[in-house]
Amino acid sequence: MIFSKKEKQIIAYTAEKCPSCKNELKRKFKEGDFLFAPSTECVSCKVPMVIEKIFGEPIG
Amino acid sequence: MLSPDTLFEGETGNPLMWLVWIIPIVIFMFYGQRIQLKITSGEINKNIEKLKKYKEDSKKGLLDYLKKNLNTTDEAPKKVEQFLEYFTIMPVDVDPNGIVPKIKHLVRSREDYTRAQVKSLSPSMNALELSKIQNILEVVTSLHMLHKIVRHLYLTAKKQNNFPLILPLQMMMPFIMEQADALKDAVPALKQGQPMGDGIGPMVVGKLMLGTQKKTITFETVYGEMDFEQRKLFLLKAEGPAATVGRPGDAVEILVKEKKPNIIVMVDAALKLEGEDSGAIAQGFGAAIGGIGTDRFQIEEVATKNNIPVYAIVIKQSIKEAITLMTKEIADKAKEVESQIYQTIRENTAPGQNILVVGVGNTLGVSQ
Repeated sequence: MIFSKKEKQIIAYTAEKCPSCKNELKRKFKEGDFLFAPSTECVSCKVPMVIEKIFGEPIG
Repeated sequence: MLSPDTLFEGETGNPLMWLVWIIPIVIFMFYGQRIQLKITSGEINKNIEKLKKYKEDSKKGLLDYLKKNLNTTDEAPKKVEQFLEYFTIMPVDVDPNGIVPKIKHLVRSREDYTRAQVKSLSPSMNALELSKIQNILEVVTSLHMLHKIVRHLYLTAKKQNNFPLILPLQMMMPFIMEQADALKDAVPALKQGQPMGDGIGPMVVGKLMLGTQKKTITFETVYGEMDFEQRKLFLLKAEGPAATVGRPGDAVEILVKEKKPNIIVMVDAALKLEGEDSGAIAQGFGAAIGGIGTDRFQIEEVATKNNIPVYAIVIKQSIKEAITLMTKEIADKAKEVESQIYQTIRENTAPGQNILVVGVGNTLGVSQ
């Protein structure tokens, strides 16, 4: 079909932000992640980062 | 020089060439519609097969999820099959006066019943899982219904050799398939508890609610209070991260009675028109809330009675974006929506006044 588009694969990402140094980190989404929940520890501040965004991005 | 008499001179004398022209004309005169019907019905049939596959896949996905994560009873497949055939008889609308409370009652009863039935599938099911299963079940039911309706129209047209009957179906097919594609793609996001495009309203308001004391105002709906430039903000959303839209109609009614807000600001996702950008933000007036209409009716009623202006901020997206994993374009707009809420408040209220901000939408994967 001339108008048919090939579907791109979507990957889910989680964006975290450190509440003290505002450092941002983007990683692959893992089950159990939800917005505004405490997540991994900030490398420099040693405090839990907060999940700011969860979104999908096409690959390729 | 060419003349009509000489143009086909070579062929006109040959009776075989006459037949080559006349036979197709006769065939198309008597059987043209049938040929067109065959071609069109072939395309529709392909889409019916696709719809069937979507329905079967989503049902299988639900049953696998139930078995794997919730250790459901052996009766689960039978019960799911039963859910698919549930129907709701809408109230008589010949005399529409007072119809909205009737619709609300029906929808609530159905929701309560479904919730109880889903809960019975696995006694160990928590509130988050329950809401996810309820949403997936709704998706499977919608796909089941789409498949059944399209198949019915197709088979009726075919049975009666009724070409005009198949034409509207052919025209509607791309829209139906767009909806079916969106529903099919919603299942993975629901299973994993990921925020959807529709969750942008709760996402913005949920962020504002961080650090405030959250109080339950009505079923699956919470609110918090915060100060902003000598004004009091009442922030309302469905209780996340469960897959629910809460009961914004009831909640707004209670909060208006108790807190007497001077304005209401509603933030919601809205369907974009073809050609509009995803994630575009628009401001307007009126209750920005979808669904069957009962919540909107309730909010409009209470706002009118109390003479409260209702402002709307919407984030445009397609049907697919609204019910599948939130795209980056939409997620990136949260900050801008937040500043537009503040701007609306500054422009339309004075210090000392109360403002009710409502984040409308499915709050799956969005806490507060």
